[in-house]
Amino acid sequence: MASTANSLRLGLRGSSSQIARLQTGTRPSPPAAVAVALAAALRRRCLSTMPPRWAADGKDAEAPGELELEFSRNYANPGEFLADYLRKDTITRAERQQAARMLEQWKEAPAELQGQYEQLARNVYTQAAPLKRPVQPRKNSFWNAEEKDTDLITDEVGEDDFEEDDILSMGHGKLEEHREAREYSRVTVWEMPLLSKFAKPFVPPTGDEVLRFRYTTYMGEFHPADRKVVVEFCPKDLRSLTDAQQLKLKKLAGPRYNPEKDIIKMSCEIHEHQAQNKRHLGDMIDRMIATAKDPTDMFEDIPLDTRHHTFTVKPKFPKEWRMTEERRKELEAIRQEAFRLDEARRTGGGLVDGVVRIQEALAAPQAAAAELQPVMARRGGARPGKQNARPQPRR
Amino acid sequence: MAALRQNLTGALRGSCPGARLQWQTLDQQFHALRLGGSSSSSSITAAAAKASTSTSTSRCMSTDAQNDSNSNTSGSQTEFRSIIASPENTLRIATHARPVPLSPSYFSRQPVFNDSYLTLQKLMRSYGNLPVIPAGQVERVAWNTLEDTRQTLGEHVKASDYAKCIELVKRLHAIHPTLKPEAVTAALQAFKRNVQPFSNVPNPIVVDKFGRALGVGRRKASVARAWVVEGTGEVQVNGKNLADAFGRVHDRESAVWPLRATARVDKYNVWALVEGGGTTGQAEALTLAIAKALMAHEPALKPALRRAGCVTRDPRRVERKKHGRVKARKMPTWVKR
Amino acid sequence: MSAPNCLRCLLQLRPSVALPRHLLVARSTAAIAIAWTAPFSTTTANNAKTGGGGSKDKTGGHIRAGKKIKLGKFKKNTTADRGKAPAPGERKAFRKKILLSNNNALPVPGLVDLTPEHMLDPQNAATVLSIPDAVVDQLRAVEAFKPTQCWGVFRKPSMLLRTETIDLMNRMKGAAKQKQTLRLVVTGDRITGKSMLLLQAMTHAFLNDWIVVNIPEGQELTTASTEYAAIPGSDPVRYMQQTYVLKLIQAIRKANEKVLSKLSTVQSHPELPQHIPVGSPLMQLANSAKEADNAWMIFQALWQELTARGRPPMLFALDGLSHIMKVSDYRSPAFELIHAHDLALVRLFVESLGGAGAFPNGGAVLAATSRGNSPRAPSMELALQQREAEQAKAADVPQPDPFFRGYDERVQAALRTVQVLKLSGISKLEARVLMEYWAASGILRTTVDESAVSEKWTLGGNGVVGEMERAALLTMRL
Repeated sequence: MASTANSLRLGLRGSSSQIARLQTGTRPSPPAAVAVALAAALRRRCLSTMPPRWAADGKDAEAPGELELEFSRNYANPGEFLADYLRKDTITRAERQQAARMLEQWKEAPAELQGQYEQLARNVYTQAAPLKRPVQPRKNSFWNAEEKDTDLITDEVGEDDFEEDDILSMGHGKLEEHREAREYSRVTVWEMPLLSKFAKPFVPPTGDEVLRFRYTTYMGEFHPADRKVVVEFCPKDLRSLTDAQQLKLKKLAGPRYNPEKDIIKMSCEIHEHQAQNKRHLGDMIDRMIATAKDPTDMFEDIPLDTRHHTFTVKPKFPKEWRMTEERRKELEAIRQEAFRLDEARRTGGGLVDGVVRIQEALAAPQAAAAELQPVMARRGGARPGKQNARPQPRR
Repeated sequence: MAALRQNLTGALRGSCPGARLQWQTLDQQFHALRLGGSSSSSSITAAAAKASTSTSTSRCMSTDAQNDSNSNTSGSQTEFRSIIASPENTLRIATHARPVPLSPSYFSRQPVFNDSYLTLQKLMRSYGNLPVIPAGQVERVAWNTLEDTRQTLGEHVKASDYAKCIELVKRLHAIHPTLKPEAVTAALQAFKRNVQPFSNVPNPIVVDKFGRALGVGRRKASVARAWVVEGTGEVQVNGKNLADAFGRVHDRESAVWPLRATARVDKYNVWALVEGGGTTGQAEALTLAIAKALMAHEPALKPALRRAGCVTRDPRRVERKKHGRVKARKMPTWVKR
Repeated sequence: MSAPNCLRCLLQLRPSVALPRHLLVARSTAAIAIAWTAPFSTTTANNAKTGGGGSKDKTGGHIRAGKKIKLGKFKKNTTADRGKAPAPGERKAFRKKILLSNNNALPVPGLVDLTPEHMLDPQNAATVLSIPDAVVDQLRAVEAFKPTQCWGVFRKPSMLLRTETIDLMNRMKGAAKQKQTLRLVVTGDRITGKSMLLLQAMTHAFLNDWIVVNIPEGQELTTASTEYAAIPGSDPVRYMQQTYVLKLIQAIRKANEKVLSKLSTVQSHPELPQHIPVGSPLMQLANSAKEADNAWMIFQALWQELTARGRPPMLFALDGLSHIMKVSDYRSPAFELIHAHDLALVRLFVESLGGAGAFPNGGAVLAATSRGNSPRAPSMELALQQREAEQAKAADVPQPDPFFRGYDERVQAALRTVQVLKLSGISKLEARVLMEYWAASGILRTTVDESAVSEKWTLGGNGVVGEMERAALLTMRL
C-alpha cells in the first residue's frame, strides 16, 4: 500500500501540474491516445496551472482538441489517468514503461485503498468548486455594504474550547489595548514630528483668488459624499463685473445666493471624482460670469428673488441706554423731576390715595350718601356702626 | 519618631536575635517607642550587637538595618566592622525569613487610622498652644466623612473614635494660618475630601463699562439673560416691550418682580433675551436673571431679594412619565374584567 | 322571567292605608321645598324631578327597571338644568351693552366738562376731562363708544387728553378753517387707544357743531351680514346696503339734530319718491327715510346736501379699516366675490379718504385700524408703513415684495396720500394723571406716587393704555 502511494508520488513528480489531475479522469481510453497525452504533458511546464499558449503550428493543428479534451475531463482515480496517459502516442518509451508499471501497481492496490482515493478526489472536487467560481463585484451597491469581510471568516469549530495553555480572551484584549496604545505612542514620538516637514505658512488669499473651495475627506474610507465639492464666492469680489452685471449674476445664482451675507454658494457631486466636480464648478462659474457680462438681456425686468432666504432680525441692546456721563445727568434730571412732582403733590395736597378716597367717601355724611344713591334696605337691620355704609356690591 | 520606628523595625527585620534570644514583646516595643529615640535604638542595637558577638547564628536578611544601626550608634559600628573583618564567622544566609510589620499598630483593628490618630495627637501635644483664629474666619473645608474614611482605609473605624479624630483635625485646622507648621498642614491634607465644594465659587457678576450687569436665570426649560442698566423703568424682552412679550399680567409681574419687591422699577432698565419653555417659565427665569443682575448693582439688596424669593433657582422640572402609569403618577383606571 | 316593575313599587303607586302617615307629610313638605327658592338666587333651583321613577328618594319610591345596556357609562350626564335660556338676541344685546356710568363709583372732585377750547390748548395735555352729557348722547347715537372700553366702572364718561389728541384736534381745526379735508389713518399697537382717539375727534366735532358721520365697524359692511343689492344703472356695478344705510341715516339724524335742524335743502331731489322742495329743512329729508327700499337714494340726497357749499365742516370716521381694504364676503350675481370698494357706502368713504371726494366746507376723514379683529390686508399695511416712513423722512421707505401676489392696486391707490398717526404708549405724566383719576374714582386702591405710576407704566408695556388698565384695574378684558 505504502509502496503504491510512494510510486505514485514519484511518478508524478516529473509533471506536478498533473498531480491534481491524477485523481481525475473517468473513462478507460484506447491505447493509441497514450502517446499523444504523454507528449502534451511534456510540453507543459511543471509549475503551471494553465496550458501554455503555443504558436500556431501546422503540425500541432490537431493538438488543441486533444488538450481541451484532457482538461475538460475529470479523472476519478490515478488508474484512469494513467490509462488515458498511456493511450497517447506522443510519449517516449521510458515514460510509457514507467506509466505502465505505475498502472500495474495501481491495479494491484487493494480495492479499499482505491475506493478511498476515489472518495478523496470527489471530496476535493466538490469542496473546491465554490472557491474556483470567480467573484463578481456587485453593481449599484451602497458603500460596498454587501462585500464580505474576509477578516471575520473563521473556522469556528472548537474556537471556544480552552486548552488551559493561554491567558483568557480578556487578557488578550487587555494586551491588545496596550499594543494599540504603544503603537500610537510610537507614532506620536517617531512619525508625527516628521509632519512638520510638510508644514506650510499660511498665505492669505490675494484679491484674485475669490473662490473658496471646500472638500470632504473621510480619512481614506470610501464614502459617497467624499466626491462633493462646495464653492463660495462673493459677487462683489469679481472686480471685472459692473454693478448691473453683478446683480445679474446674483439673479442667475437663484437660491444659491444668500442676500444677508452677499455670498453665492454652490456645490457639485455629480461626477465620480473630486477633481471632476471641482472642474465642473469652475466651468459653471465661468459660464455664469460670461452670461452676466452678456449685454443682450440684463434681466432688468426680474427683481432679485430672496424668497428662499429668511431674514432674521437680532434684537440689539439700545445704544441710548448705555451709561455715559450725559445719560447719567439725564437720568438724574428725570429723577429730580419725579421727586419734585411727588413732593409738590404731597405738600400741596394733590396726592391721590385710592384707599383714603374710599374711606372718606364711606365716612361722608348720610345726606351726601343718600344723594349719591338710593338707600337700600339691609337684611337684619342697620347696624349702629355702619349707618353710613353703602351696600356691598353684588358679586 | 518615624525615623526611630523605621530604625526599630529595620533592626527587628534585619538582625533579629536568634532562637536563643528571647523575642521582644509588643509591649516592650511600644515601651521603647515611648522612650526617647536614642535610648531605644541603643538598647535594641545593643541587643543586636550582643547577639552578633555572642552567637554565630545571627541573621542578615537585610543590610539596611545594619546601616541604620551603624549610622546611629557607635556600638553597632564596631559590630559592623567586626562583621566586615570576619564575614565567614558572622554572616550566614538565613534559613528562613520572618517579616515584621512596619507599624506597631499592625495588629490592632484599624492600623492606618490608629497611626494617623497618634500622629494627630502628637501634633496636638506639640502645637496645641499656638494661637487660633475665630471660628467664623476659619477657611471652610469639607472633611472626609466617616463612611468615606471607612471606604478608603478599608477599616472599620469606630464612629466615636472618628468623631474625636475629626475634632482634633478641626482644632489643628483652626491654628492661625501664618503660624501653622508645615507638619500640621501635611497631616490635615489626608483628612480633606478630594473635591472641595467650598472652593467652587461662581464668578462674581460685574457691571461692565456701559453700566450693564448681565444675570442669567433658569426655570423649567427656559433660560433668560437680562442686562440690567440704570434707567427709567423700560423693559425689553427679545426686542419687544413687556406687554407684547407676556400676554398675562401675572407673567409680567413675575418678570419684574425683583424690581418691584425692592421698589426699583423706575430706577433700572432691563434688556433681556429669553428662550425655551413656555410663558410662565420664561417669566420666572427672568425673575432670577434680573435679581442676579440687580445684586451686581446693589449687593446689599440680597436679603430683601431672598425674602422676595428671587435668589434661589426653582429646581422643579416636569416629572417623568413612568411605565405602568398613565402620566407621572396617575394610575390606569380600574376595569372589572 | 321577572316582572319589569317590582311589586313593592306597584304597591306604593296608590295611596293606600298601608302607607304610613308621616311619609305623606314628608311628601307634602318636599313639594313646598321645591316651590321655595332662595331670594338671592338668579336661577331656579336644580331640584330632583318628582314623579319620575328610577331615582331613589326618601319616600322609598323604587322601581326596578329591567337590565339595560348602557353605552358610554362613564360619561357624566351633562344636560343639567341651566334655567331659562336667553331669548333670541338677548345674548348679543348683553354683549353689546354699553354702560356709560356707574353710581357706585366715587365722583371725582374737580372734574371739568369739556369745552371746545379745552381740546385745542396744549396746556391741557395730560388732563382728564369729562364729556358733557349732550355730547355723550350724540356719541352714543353714532355708536362711538365700544363695549370693550371700560366706561362702566366710572361715575361719568371722562377721557384723558394726550398730546396726540391735542395735536389731532389742532390739525382738524386748521383743516376746517382752511376749508380743507384732513385725511388721516390712526394706527398703532393693540389697545393703544386708537378707537378712543376717534371718539375724541368726534367729541371735538360735536362740540364745534360739525356734522359727524360715523361707521362704527368696517366689519359690518363687508362680512355679508346686511342686505345688499346692485344699484340699477350703475356701470361698473356698485352695490348698496339699504338696511345699513337706513340705520346710518337715522344715526346721523339723531346725532346731528342740533345742526341739521338749522339747515335747509338747497337742491331739488326729483328722484326721491317723496317731494322735498328746495328750502325745506334737512331734518325733513332725513326723516323721510322710513324704510330700507329708498334709503340709499335718500342718503345720496342727504350727502349732496351736506356737502353743498356753506354747510358746517364734516367729520367722516370709520373704525376697523382693514375690513374695507379687502375683497368682501358678498357675491355678485355671477357668484364672484365683490371687492369692498364696489360697495357704494364703502366706496364713498374710500374716495373721501383717498381725496377724490373732498369736502367743500372742510372737515376730516378719519380711519382707525384695529389689531384685535382685523383680517390681513397686506396692501394696507404696506401703504401705511410707506406713508409713515415718508412722513418721518426716513432714508429707506419699505418697498413691496415683488414676488408677493396678495397686493391690491385699488387699496394702494386709496391710501396713496393719507396721513398716518401712529399711537404708542403714553408718557409717565399722562399715566400719572390717568391713575390719579382712577384712584379718585375709588377703583385703584393705591397711593398714586411716582413709584406706583412707574410700576404700572412698566407692566403696561411702556405705557400702553389698555395694558395699564388691565394691570391696574384687573379688568377681565383679554
